[in-house]
This record gives sequence, structure tokens and C-alpha cells, in this order.
Amino acid sequence: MKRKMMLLLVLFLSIPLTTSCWSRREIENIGFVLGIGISKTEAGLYKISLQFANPSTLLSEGSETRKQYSIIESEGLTIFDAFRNTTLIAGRRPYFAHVSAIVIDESIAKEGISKVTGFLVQDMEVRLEPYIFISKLPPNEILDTPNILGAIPSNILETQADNNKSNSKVYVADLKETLEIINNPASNYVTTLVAKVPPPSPNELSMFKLSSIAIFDKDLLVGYLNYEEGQAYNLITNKFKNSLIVYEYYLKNEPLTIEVSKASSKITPRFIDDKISFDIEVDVEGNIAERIPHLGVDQELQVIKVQEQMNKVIEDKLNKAIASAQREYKVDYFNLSGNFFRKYPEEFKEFQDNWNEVFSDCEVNVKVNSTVIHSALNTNKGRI
Amino acid sequence: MKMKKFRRKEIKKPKKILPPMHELGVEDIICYADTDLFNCLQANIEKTRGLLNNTDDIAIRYFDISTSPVLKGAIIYIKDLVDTDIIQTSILTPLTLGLLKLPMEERCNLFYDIDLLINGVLVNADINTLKNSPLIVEALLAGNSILLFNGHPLAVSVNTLTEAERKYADPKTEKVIKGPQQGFVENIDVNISILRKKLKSQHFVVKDHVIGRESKSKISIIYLSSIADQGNVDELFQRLADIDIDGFVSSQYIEELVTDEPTKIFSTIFSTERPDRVEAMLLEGRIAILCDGSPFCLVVPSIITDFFISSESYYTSYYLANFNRLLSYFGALVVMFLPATYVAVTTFHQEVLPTKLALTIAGTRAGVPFPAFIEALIMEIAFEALREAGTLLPTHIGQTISIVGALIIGQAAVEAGLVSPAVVIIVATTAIFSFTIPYSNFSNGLRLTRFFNMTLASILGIYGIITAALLIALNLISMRSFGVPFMIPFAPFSLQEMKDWVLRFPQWAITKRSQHITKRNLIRKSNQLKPKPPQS
Repeated sequence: MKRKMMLLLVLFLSIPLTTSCWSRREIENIGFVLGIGISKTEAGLYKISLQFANPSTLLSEGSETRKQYSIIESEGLTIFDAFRNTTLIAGRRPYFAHVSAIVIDESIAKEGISKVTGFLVQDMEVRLEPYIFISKLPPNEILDTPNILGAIPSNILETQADNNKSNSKVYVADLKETLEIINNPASNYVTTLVAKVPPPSPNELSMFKLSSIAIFDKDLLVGYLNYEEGQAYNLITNKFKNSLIVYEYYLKNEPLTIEVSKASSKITPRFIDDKISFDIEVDVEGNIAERIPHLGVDQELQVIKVQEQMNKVIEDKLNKAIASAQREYKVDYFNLSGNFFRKYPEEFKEFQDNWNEVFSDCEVNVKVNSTVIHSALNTNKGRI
Repeated sequence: MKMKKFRRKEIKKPKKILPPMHELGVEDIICYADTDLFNCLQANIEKTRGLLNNTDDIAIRYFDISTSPVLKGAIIYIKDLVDTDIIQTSILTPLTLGLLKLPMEERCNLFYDIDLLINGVLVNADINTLKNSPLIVEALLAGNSILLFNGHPLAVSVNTLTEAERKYADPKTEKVIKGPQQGFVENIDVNISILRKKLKSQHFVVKDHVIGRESKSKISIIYLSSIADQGNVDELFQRLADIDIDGFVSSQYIEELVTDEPTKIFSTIFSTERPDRVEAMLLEGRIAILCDGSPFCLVVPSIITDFFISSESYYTSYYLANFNRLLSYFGALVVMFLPATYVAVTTFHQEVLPTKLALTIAGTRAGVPFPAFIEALIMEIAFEALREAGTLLPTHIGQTISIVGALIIGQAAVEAGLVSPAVVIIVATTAIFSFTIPYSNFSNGLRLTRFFNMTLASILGIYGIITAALLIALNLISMRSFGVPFMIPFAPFSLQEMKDWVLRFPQWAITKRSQHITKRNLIRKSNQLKPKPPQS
């Protein structure tokens, strides 16, 4: 018995000691990659730009912006090959769990984004939370945009993407959504184009701007939407969080700004006599955030009229966006296919392969119900 | 671990002890209509002792009153409550030596006229004639001496309460801010009297036991006979009877000799030096063990939550008390797992950290020559050494230790780049939280487990921490204290018992005793206690 116990003890002791902590890596020895840029060289190789954080300078106060991160580039036949080749250059092993932004070159997006996202899901380190951006500039230029805030550009991109919820003019997809849509044969991908705007003054540094929504036919980049269409996209797809709608109050020609606090859409697909149509019903709730009334005119605001007018303004907006999607791009970037599939799963199989054409021909009816809750202005109705 | 079974068969009902008739000295014991006392001295004494559950701290002194003929009398008192000098001067001397000076006729008169004896001879300011045994018990417990006469169905209570408060020690290890600053002392008789004064109950039973071949040390077992589980009491007596040692130095000896879990790292017997704490636990139906020479009182059966309850929580508002309790439980988790988590996260699971925190830790660790585990281990051992040095050294030198520790380890080691500031924060946090657990004999066990946890974490990462947590949990759940599961009220889960043990509900909300500790007398309060505005 005693012998057996001793043997067991030796076994138990040797298990931890002989494995020698094989997956152990000290936190100071790993290179935290915060941003990934993907582009193509002229020779047709994939080029990867990795933005490494430089932890020791992050801590010391007043350090120069430039030193907080360093960018490493490498090329390879495939994405993974290019990633691996970074170890030839980088002093530390890249660690992808903390990636917050992935910038993809427009040229790759035009060829199909699915070619580069494969590695990101197959590698176990990458989380599904980084945001995906499309860039017309080379990604390394985007990633190497120092800013006055002194933060790492990838983090700025992430913050900007988060802040867009209060604007709802663009929509930034994260990696999880990207992978889901790309692997779904009937869905079309949407994310945001990031641009660099020149500095507003000579002493300033240049900044990022999320300039427009990039729309894809499946995974091929086909065009960009302006902010009006961007709002319509967010309203229809139920991604609208908080945004402003500005129009002129028709009774008195005064500009009126409505701050939308709540918006929801309900899409009802119909399939009658082999004709597909959609009813889109959007409920918008908001308050009057700003109003510039004329002097000496009746200050009273007729809320019912404001609501009716707002219905019309938003309906116009939506109709315009739908029309451009159907005529100009011929792409169902609203992904109405999903709603149709959920209601008519059997019938959908027939249209699955050429859904975008089907969508271009179908009828879309839009109805908006707006509610203006309160004026959010003082008793003088905006006058001081 | 097998649960030790109670020797239930050995429990006997206490017999009513009445001596055989031929010892009574009177032919017939007469019962009276107006009193429940007898005309027989011995019968009255036994009746009183029976009402006090034959406790061992009752003293009986037989003496002959020098009347003519001689009248047999006896004094009963509770040892630690009375001043024996008063008994001598106010009772014994006048009734014996004092009477001898009187002429024979008067001594004859006194034999027949008991009232004259009481009023004329006894020298005390506070004398009452009692004709009822409950009154006798009450008077006894209040510190009076009871004088009984053979052949007379009455008792005389003489106020002999000791006036001088004995010197109590400050509780050194269990400080409270608002509560009483009274602690047990080394003298066992003083300790019993402290408890006796707190619980003036006739059910308060003291049983003495002598242990030690050479030391012959006295151990007193104290319990409330109306509440405590008789099975537990018998079990404790049995275990004490089995002890055969040459002598004992501290109550820790007894603890190790009677515990259910002799090999476990956690102690299953609660010990405290606060009388108010023992009082509260006696009222829950537990049994206290006082050892001569030790200012610590052991309490059985004890459970894990006892070690997390600070007496302070009964002297403050229950909101604050609850907060502090939860802080203690959180502290236990921190003490066990914080250094281990640091090691696991920085060496295996960098992805669970928020990006900024990961970068910060990586930045502070840059240039540190040791792996995180070695770094944390060095600092933890350094802290333990500091702590131990601080307790061993005399107070005025002990302060220099903290300066040396703070300066050299806190400052210099970080500046020299030998350890990272992060690990200093981790060690300091662990140290602070280890002091939020009120009773060190449990937190010491927890403190030791953290080295084991850290080692497993450095080998297996978070998997190792979970393994260690499971081992500790299994260990705790398997433990018993006098047959009571140690992890009550967590396992077995009991919401009712959490009201007082895990949290502290207001006093009007706790109305029942735990049925795990005792099987009888479970209702401890009225359930209408919550104060209400008067009905108008």
C-alpha cells in the first residue's frame, strides 16, 4: 500500500514537472497586436501590416506619440504565410487576442473579402470583436496616423466605431458579423470606409473619418453610400440607435432638428402570385432638439404637424435609398433576403442564387410612424 | 472521513438523586402545603442542585450551628460569584463561634425559634427568608448564599455577591470598537464567573474535568442544558475522557485532541477570547470548553461561518455588518486566489485581460528578470516573513520591521526592477484582505493554500486554479465538527441559517436556532419582534 502510494506520488509529481508548462509565455515577451492591415503588393503577394503596442512607453507619461506603437510589414503567398513571415522581422511573437481594428485595402475588397477573412477565423487567438474597415489608402498609412490624443490609431478607430451609435450614419461591422454574412450565400456584406482627413490647422495632425458605408455584392465591394443612405440603411436594418433628422418645419420655414432616441423597424415580406413585395414599417421616437423660430411669429409648435412632416421626410429618405439599391447598385444590402427566408423558407430556395436581381424587381412599401415626445426646449420655445 | 457516530445509547436521563432515607437524619420527610421545600436539609440541598442541573461550580458547606442542641445547617453558593470572606464574617462566624458566647438558655431558645436565629444572629445587610425553590435558585444565581437548616422548610438568602470586579484582560486578538472590552483571562474560575454573570440561567451547567497525568489541569465544559444537544455533550465527555497525556500547555492541545479532523489544514474547533461571543454561541446550543491557564475558550460544534463572524457585527447597524461580512467572504477568495490568478493570467491567459490592463502589466513587467510565478512567490514569502517577524518581535522593534519592509521591498525592489509594481499591489491586496477575516486560525489555513494555488496556476493556468479550488472545496465539504457538517449553511444549503451566519439579519428577523447544532428548543424568540408604530 505504502509502495503504491509512493508510486502514485511520484507519478503525480512528474506530470507537472515534465510538461514544463509548455504553453507558458510571460506577458512581457509577447507582442500585442492591436491593428491589422491587409493589402496586396503589385507582385500579387499579400501584404500584412501589424501594429504592435509598445507597453513600456505606454506607461511612462509624456512619451512621444510615435513610440507607443510600431508597425511591422511582411509579405506572403497567403495571409497566414504573411503573418508567419512577420516573425522574421518582429522581435516578439505577435499575439492577436487584443486586435481591435482590421483595415482592408479597397483593392482586396473589390476582389472579394472572403479571401482574407479565412485566416482570422481559423486562428484561435483572434477574437471576434475587432471592427472591419475598408480603406482607399494603403492600410499601413491608416494604421500609422499619429493623433493629438496620443493614443494608438487602432484604439482610435475602435472608439470611433463605438461612437457611431450616436450618429447612425455609418455602420461598422465586427469580425463576427463579417464572418457570418460572408459565409451565407444569400447575404450581402456592409461595413465602413475609413478615410484620412487633412489636418484642420497646420499645427494639428491628420485624423480619421468614417466617411461612408461600403456595400458589397456578397463579398465584392460595389460602392459607397452617403450619410443620407447610411441613415436609411440603419433605419431599415434596425441598427439605428440615436441620430439627428433635420428638416424645415413647413408652416414657418424654420429649421427643426429632431433627435431620434428610439427607432425600430418591422419588415413583412409577402409572396403573392409569384410576386415578392416587402412592407417596411418604421417606428421612430424622438424629441425636438433644436429649433430656430422666427421673431415675432407665433411660437406655438403643432406636434401633430411635426410628426406628419417627419413621417414624410423619413419615408422620402428610405424610398430614395431603396430606389438606389434597386436601380443603381442592384444589390440587396439591406439583407431583406433574411426576412423573406424566415417567412418562406421553401420558396426562397428558388430565388437564392439570383436574389439580387429578384430584389431589384420587387416592390417595397415604406411606412413611417413618428412620435415626438417632448420639445426638450425651454418655455420660450428656443428663444433665449 | 467517516462521520463519528454519537454514542446515543450511553445517554442516560439524569436521575433524580435523593439520598436513601436512613441518611436523612429525620424519620419522615414532610411535604408542606405552602412551600415546596422539605423539612430535611439533605433533601433541600439535592432539590436545589437538581434545579441547577448538578453543575460543578456550586459549593455546599455543611456546618453545625452552635445552638443547644446542635442544629445542622448548610450554605450553598456558586463559587465564582461570591466573596467567601463575607460568608465567613456574616454567616459562619456568628452562627458557630458567636453563639458559643451566649448563655445556654438563649442557645436553647434559638434552636426552637428559627426567626430569632435569622434576625438576631446573622450579620448582613441583605437577608431574605425564602420559601420556594425557584426563588432559591434565582437568589443563588444572583450571587447570594443560601442558608438551609435541618428540620425547617425554609431558606435564607444572604447577600454575599463579590463587590470587587475582577480584573479582566483586553481581548488582544479580537478587537471591537463599540463593544465591551472584556476578554477571558488565564484563571479558569474568573472565566466561569464572567460567563455565569452573563447567563443567569439555572440551565447554565458547568462540568469539571481534570486532564493531565502530571499537570492535573482543570477543564470546564459549559453548556446550557435546556438548549445544547445532549448527544454532543456526551460525545465531548467521551472524547475528553479518552485523553491521556502528561500535561497540556494551551487550549490548542485540547483542540487537536478532540477534533474530528486531525489531519486537515483548517481547524474545526472555534476558539475565542471574547466572553460575549461565547455567550452568543452558548445560546445557539453550543458547548464551550475552558481550559485552565488559557485565555481562549474553545467552542464545539463549530462551522465555517463562525470564523467569518466578527463580534463587531453585533454592535453596529446590520447594513454595515452585512457589508463587512460579505467583505470577509470576498477577502477569503482574494487571499486564496488573487496571486494565483495573477500568475495564471500573465503567463497563460493574456486574452482574458482587457487590452489596456494587459498592456499596463506588460509594461510594468518589462525588464523584470524573473517569471511571474517566481516573482509572486518571492514577494509572498517576503510578506509572510515580515508578518511573522512583526508578531515575534517586541512592539517597539516590530515597527522597524514594517519600515524596512515597506522601504526595501516596496520601494527599492521595484525601482531596481527586480519585481514589478503590479505584483507588489497583488501581494499588498492579498495581505490586506487576509486581515478582513476575523479569526486568524481559519485564515491561516487559507493563507497557506495560496502557495499551493499559485504553484498549480503556474503549471496549469486557470485550469490549475479551478483544480485547486475544487480540492479546497472538497476538503472543506468533507469536514465535520462533532458530526455537524463544517460547511453549513453552504453545504448542506440552508437559507434559514444564512440569515444569521452568512449575513446578519436584524435581531427581530432571526427567531430560530439552527437544527444542525441542536435538535431541541429551536424557537429562540417571539416572531412578533419587529417594532411597529403604535396603533391609533
